[in-house]
Amino acid sequence: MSEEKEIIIEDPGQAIDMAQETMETFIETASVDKVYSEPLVHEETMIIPAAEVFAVAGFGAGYGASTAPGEDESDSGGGAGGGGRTFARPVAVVIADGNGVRVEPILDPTKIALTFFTALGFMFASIARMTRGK
Amino acid sequence: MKRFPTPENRFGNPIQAGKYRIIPIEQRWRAQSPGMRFFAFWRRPASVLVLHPDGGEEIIEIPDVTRQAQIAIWGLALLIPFLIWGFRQWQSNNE
Repeated sequence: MSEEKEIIIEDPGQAIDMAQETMETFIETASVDKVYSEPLVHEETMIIPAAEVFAVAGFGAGYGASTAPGEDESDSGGGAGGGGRTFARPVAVVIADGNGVRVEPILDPTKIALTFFTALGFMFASIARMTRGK
Repeated sequence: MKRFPTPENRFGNPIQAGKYRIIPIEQRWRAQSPGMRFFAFWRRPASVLVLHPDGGEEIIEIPDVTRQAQIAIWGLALLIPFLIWGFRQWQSNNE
């Protein structure tokens, strides 16, 4: 146990470095096949779904030692944590059949509707502000 | 690891689709903050390289119509208030 503490005291950033290395390895090993899914074959037609992937991750670490008078100086603690999230959205499908290879884009009406209403709200707020300012 | 967002194109494993050979290409953006230990990556399908049986090559771009529509909507949402503001300025100058 004490040996573990010593390691943390000597190198408080070790845990975070390990987490970062793990994440870097994860990114490097994530191949193109994650963006392009496994091809689906139906008779002479092959469909390859394509999606965009967005991922965020963050890590933090902290360490503290006791500085109160009378307390043992070896009282210390440290910790590290991290988290992340991944978002994916279908973008298009690549279709290969006897006529050739073509790309069919995928329209996401929900996203467009959300953008439309958000932009509409922004527009009305901007116009209202301009009107008030006059 | 690069700290600033930089695009990078990567080729995937070739897929044999009948007489065609398809090589998927993805575009990858990565960003990392130096102090906050934060990083993000964005990967999108960029295009596919199609190898024809006669030896010809063709690159087919993959359009993101949803994103294009979102950009167009936001462009209009920024432009319309600006035009209204310009019109009101012009109107008040002419009064």
